Amino acid sequence: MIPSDFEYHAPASFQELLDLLSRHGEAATLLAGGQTLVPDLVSGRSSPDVVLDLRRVQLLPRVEAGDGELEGGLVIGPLVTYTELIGSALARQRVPLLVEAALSVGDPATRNAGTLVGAVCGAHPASDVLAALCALDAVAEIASTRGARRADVESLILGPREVDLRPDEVVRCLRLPPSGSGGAAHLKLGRSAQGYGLVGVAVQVALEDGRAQRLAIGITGYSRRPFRAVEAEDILWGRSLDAVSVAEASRAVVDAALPRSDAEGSGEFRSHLVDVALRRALHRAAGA
Amino acid sequence: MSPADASPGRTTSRGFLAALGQHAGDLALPGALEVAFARSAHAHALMGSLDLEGSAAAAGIVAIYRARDLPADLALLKEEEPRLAGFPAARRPALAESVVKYVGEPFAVIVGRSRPESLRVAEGLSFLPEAQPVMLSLEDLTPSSPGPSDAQTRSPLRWTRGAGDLDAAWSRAQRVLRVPLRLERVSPAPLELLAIVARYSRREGKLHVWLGSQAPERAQAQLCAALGLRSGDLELHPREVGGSFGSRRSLCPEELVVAWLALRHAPLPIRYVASRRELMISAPQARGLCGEAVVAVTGQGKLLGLQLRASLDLGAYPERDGCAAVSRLLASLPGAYGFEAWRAELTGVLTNKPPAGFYRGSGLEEATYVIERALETVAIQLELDPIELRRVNLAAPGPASGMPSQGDGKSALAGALEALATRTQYGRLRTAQEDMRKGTLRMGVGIALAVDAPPPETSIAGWSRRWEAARVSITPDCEAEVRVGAVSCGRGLEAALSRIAAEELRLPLDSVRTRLGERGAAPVGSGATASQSMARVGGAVAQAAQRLRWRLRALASDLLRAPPEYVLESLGGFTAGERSITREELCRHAYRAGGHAEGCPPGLDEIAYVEVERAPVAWTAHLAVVTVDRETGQIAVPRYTALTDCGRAIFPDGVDAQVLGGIAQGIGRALRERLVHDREGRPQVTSLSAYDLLGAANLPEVDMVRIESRAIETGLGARSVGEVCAAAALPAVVNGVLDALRTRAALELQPPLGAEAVWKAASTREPT
Repeated sequence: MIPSDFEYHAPASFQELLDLLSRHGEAATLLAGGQTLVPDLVSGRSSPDVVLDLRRVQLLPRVEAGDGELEGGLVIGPLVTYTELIGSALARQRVPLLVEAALSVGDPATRNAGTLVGAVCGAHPASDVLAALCALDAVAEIASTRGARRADVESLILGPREVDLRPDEVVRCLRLPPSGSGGAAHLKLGRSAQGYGLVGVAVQVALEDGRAQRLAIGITGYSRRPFRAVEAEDILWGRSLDAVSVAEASRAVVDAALPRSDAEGSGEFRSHLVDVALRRALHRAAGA
Repeated sequence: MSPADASPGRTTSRGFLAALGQHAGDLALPGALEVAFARSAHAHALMGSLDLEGSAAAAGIVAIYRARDLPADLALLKEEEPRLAGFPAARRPALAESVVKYVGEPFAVIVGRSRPESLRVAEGLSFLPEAQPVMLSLEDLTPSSPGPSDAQTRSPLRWTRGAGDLDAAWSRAQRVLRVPLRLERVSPAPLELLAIVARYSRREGKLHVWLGSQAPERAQAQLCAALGLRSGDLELHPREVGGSFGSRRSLCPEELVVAWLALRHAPLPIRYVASRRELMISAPQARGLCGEAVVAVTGQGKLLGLQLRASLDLGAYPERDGCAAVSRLLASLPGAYGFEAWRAELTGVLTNKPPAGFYRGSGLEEATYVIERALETVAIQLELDPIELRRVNLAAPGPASGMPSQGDGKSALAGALEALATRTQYGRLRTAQEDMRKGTLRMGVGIALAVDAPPPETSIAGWSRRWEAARVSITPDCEAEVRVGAVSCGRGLEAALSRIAAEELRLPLDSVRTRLGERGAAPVGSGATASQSMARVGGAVAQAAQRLRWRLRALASDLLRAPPEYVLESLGGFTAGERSITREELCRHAYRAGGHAEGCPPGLDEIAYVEVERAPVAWTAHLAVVTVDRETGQIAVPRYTALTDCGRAIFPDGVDAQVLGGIAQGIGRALRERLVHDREGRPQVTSLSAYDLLGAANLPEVDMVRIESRAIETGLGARSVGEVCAAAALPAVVNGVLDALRTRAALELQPPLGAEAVWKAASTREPT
């Protein structure tokens, strides 16, 4: 049940979309897969005056190989669903970490409808793919009638449901640089029947002579927003992944942000889980 | 192969798959007024001034009513109503009058031109509250504290039942074990939301009501009583029920109000569709229990005594369904086992939460949980094998205990335990468990038996003696039609009844049509209560069909000019010596003038009434293999085996679906589902997502074994399986987790077993 009326537009071109956004600004909300907006409308958390549907916009990027400075990387358009990403051979080859994270999202129905760009803009603190996007240095390409800009996904997300986007802006695509060689693992712990976990850890690591190189760690669910665990990466860089180094790295993750505490799990439990998840994810990524 | 076997499948599912289901909410009558309810934001408060003027003038609003505008008789509970023994007199008006007793209780109804307009006003409406003390926690009322004397009823609610000499049992005990018990409130959580449409026809002088109900007969009676109508003045049109699980057995206050509004605003139709949030916060909830059992045993694990002391959360009003659950809980003790003495002392607590109502397995699930958890505690503390412990302590079968026996007089449950062990290669499971004992991932095996054998003296709704009727007819073109008053809640009852008629009449399944909710055609029937439609209604269908078949034979005997004993029935029709006649010819003939057999009315039409004295005993034996990750508290159920006595399995797919559904319910209860209220009594779980309802993807592969021992209580031989499986699955999974951890802290764990609590219990080193 959607109690409030709203105006609905389904523009056919990207320029038309930008014009509508610029005209309606704060009053407008974007609709892509609807996995955030529709529940929000039903619960009354969101009551926009205008809904702009992206699904008829022509010539938006899908899952595409990057070129130029993004050679070897990947571009993900705003309507790309988890299912589309999982089905893309290119994505499986270039960003296996992100594909693994996408596979852990909700249930098939959610994966069929939900989009990756929607996950970024929805900024749910436990969204699965955000840990992987942070670890993969994903950058959002943002457009408005005022021009285009780029921002990395980690800095774009300010907190739960809070993103650093102006009312007239739209994310046109996500840009993922080449992720390099090495193993990858995404692990989520404390999963509910509906799909969100208490914590999620995405790890990418290459070992040389048993020492960690090109390490990337993304964390979701643990704190108010997903983040890249740079302190933990620094601790592990050039070291073997043994009990001592991993424990140090875990402590750095726990110290990097305040854990969330709610009915699903206390901060103490989340801190403990992030430790277990990091250890297990590192071992799996290193073993791969 | 009988003709009925040729075409399996659930004919009912076709319509649902094609989105052709007809739920009350789908009904769009032109000009309908849309209703919304203003609900209390306070758990307990006196209602101060309520200013309606501004709201009544809002756009699209036709009228706003509060309790004082409604007839005084429009009440769900009435002081003078007969009630179950031991339950207090109470009154519950359809809208709160001067005091609200839970968050979500409706206190005003808004009638508008559109749903958004009515909702907007409903959400903005509030009264000046004078806060009253809020009663929420059952812990405040554990047996050691003085009994509650609730101001709402001014009489403490206490019930006791038991047998044997407890003191004697205790004096011989070598071990006395304490079993802490706590069950959170849960919601039946049907997927279909509550919806009702009502319209008064001036031309007919009749009120038409469309709603989804498990028990249309009861709904009709409740509505007529509340509105002061004769039963002929109200025509109930039962619509499809998309899963019910007990929640559509009784009417809710909103339905009474909508029916009244249809009289008031005649001839305009009135429509109400609840939101999920409304349902989660205000629809009846079930199961809240808190207390302790104490078990007295010998050193070898012979059960001597059981004492249960528990408080039950009845919610804001002692409604009949919630009270019936208490009766059934008492009636289901002490389950399958032969305690020398036992005693249960229950205290009913009126809390500031929605009233307790029915949920599949009400009372039976609580009793089974108490007993099976106690048995697991004994097995762990005394280091005994849980299957062996159960086997040696089973009550002797027979009328005294109500426990089922096999043909040889041996306990059917003992046979089931043996079969369970063989089927699961139990010895190997225990070896695997030992092998995993040193690791992070622990394995556990949980056992539970559930037996539904209420003692004959119970007067519990659904289990007592009652009538069922069915009407079966055959058309001139040889198609059978089954009509019953019973309704389906999405369980495939139509398919099962069609199959019974097809088998009895020797007709192909696709030429049998079953229509449910046909109370005009088959005037009695108690609806879908206690998972017994099949056992009871099926018998009436079989009897009517058998009589029709006898009439066909008599007619064939007339036409073939041979005595009935010389008439042979074949797949196509009847033969006597050289002469034969097809079933089609017979059917046509039966409708011709003078075409009926001697002593029979014309046509082919029969109504059968079946009186079932008591429900057949039903039982199930479950074994759950669970794993517990000690580091994360995560629980998985990789294997699950259920042996269930379903009596004669008329519709095996339907039986399996009931078994699986029951197990899903139990696993959900064990691991995830619960309703939570904060300190002010505000519900914290207002969506299915927050409720963490188990989905199909979260279910283990279940090995379902049907045991088919024909029930003698019903003509058909079928038993009900929907409730016992739900009741057994909760303790089976919980016991599996206790068995995996075997720490003192684990013995305190209570469902739902959240990861954090399990992690804490697993982290302690103290063994049991």
